[in-house]
Amino acid sequence: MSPLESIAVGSTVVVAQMDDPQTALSALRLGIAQGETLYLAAKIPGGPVVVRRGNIEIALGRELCRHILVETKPGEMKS
Amino acid sequence: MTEQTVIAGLHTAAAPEKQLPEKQLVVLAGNPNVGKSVFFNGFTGQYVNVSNFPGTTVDIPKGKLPNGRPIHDTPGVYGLSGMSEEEQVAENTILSADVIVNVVSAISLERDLFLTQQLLDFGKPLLVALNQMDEAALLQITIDIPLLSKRLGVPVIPCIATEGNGLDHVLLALTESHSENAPRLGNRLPDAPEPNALLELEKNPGERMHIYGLRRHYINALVSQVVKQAQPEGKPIQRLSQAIGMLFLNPFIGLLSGLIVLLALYQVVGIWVAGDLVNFTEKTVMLKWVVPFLKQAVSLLASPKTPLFEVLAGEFGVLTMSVQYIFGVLFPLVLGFYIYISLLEDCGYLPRIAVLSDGLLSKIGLNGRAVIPLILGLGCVTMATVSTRVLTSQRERTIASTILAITIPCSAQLGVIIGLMAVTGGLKAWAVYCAILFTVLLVLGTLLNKMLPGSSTSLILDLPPMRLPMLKNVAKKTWVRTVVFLKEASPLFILGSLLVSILQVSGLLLTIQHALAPVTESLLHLPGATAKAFIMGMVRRDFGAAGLYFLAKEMTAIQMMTALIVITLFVPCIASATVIWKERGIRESSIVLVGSWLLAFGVGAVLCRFLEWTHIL
Repeated sequence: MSPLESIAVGSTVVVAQMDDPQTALSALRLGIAQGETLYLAAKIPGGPVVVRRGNIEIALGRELCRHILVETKPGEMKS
Repeated sequence: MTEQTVIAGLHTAAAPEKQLPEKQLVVLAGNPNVGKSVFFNGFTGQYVNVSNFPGTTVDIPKGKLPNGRPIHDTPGVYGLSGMSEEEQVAENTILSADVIVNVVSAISLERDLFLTQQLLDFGKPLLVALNQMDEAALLQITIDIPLLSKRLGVPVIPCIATEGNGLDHVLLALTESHSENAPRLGNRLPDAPEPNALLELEKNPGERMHIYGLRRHYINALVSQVVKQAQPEGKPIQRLSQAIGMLFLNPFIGLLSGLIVLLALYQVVGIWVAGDLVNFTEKTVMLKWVVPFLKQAVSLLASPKTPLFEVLAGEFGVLTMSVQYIFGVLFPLVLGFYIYISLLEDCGYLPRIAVLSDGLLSKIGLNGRAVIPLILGLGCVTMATVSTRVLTSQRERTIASTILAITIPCSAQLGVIIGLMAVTGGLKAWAVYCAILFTVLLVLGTLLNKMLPGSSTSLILDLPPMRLPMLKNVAKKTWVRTVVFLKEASPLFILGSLLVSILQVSGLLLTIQHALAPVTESLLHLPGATAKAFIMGMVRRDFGAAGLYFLAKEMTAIQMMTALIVITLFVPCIASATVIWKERGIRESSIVLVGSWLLAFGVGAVLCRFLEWTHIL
């Protein structure tokens, strides 16, 4: 398990845990929940991480990405 | 009481306790950028706020369906959680609805159905308009509509709103009470508490998180049954609009495009609108035609030089100055700014700027969203202060409005400053001026971020696809925003000029000027007469800068720089001070006002000595 912040662009990850309640709430509404698969589309240096989930793109602040823990399992997709 | 009303009363009592259909309020609800506006337009033929990004004013467009039923539109929200003022406004309108048309996008059902389910859980009768079916087809998404309808327990009507496809079905369902598609109560979350109990439960943070989690998993399971998308496993198809969007997120291209956008903003709004156009509207239309007419009209009431005449039509007269300022300066300026911002917003560029600036803004306790109020501040600080309502927390609104009030020069002021720089200092002076303001902004923001309790929220932003701006949207959005702003700000400008005229008539203005003169001389090494320019800056920020014009000949480059910096940091104009007071309360606005005095003179005192010592200028 590692923070989303440390993942390389182009990886596919599965969300394992979200620490911060306020942001977890916003994330839940947009579709980011435990067990969801995200594709890491871009990282702005010193800034947000952009993830793609299905057909939508979401920018997540850097601080927030430290609180989202993910698993990198490129081969294993959630069906 | 007449016989007729008695009979009418009996009649209603006998009827089932249900409002007449034509009185029932229909509300459009949905996520941002799903095309709600097109529905509203199609149903009512009226204007609507089509937002591609959290807007700059919160307003609820209202109209009527062909059968007379009232229909309201709401700002796009992802759920009813009261996370910003915009969301609260949407929430209140949605909860007051009798029936809801929930517009969802066929390409992002996982996201959109969260709100749908929340509305169903709250016990609202609704129908789902499944929009953007054409884009879903392009992305090879197939949706089992009958199954979706069955699972939600409400009608689902496929639409392509931009082509007018499906709108008539939705309209029919709303106007014909026996339509099979008429909105109805759907399936609530399994084991969900009663709607009223749920409303209370969702106010409790812990419970809310639990319910949101359940709802999210329920919707994800539902979507995985209903939606099939043919795409290679692992790496989703990248759409062209997404590819272009990604390009603007590249730091190099992003920075370059950001510079171009700012330069264009400077040219269009700074030079053409704030310069040429305002020159015409204020100097010619207002000062040559309208104001003399007003003065003449007032002179019938009170003879010139009397206090009443001065208050109504004098130098800062309530009638003359507010009319001159609101219609001669503010209206063209705010209109120009909103056109520009609406264009950037409609093509999806603004959210990318928000993403790129997030890193820097998060260091001063804001997040990328705050970039919009800050840019708007370069137009009019009053307008920008109102727009801080889109920010999520009170803490962020405090930081943003303080930074706006103190460090951001508005375009009226910038126009005069540009003129002065051309005479004394040139490009080098510009660089020094910008560097100082930027430093003050960073230091002030960092201090506020450290001092204020709590921490600010992180950016979490859904990026809409890039597209060509739709001019009709831009025009309508600009117009509504301008009107809303003028409606809100005009009374404040009138109040402001009333206050200043009273100060002037009573002689207090002169007293303050005299008291200030020694400070400017000994502390800032400036001619005593500059005190007058500072005081004028309180009335209108550009008046302050313009006051320096007359002193420019007797001032050195160092003195000019000091005076310009002090005048920029010094109190916001009286209208924005009133807005800050209204938006942020008396305590906070007093701190900002006093703080700006101290900061302006403090920075000025250090700056003039530093410049004299280093000989940079």
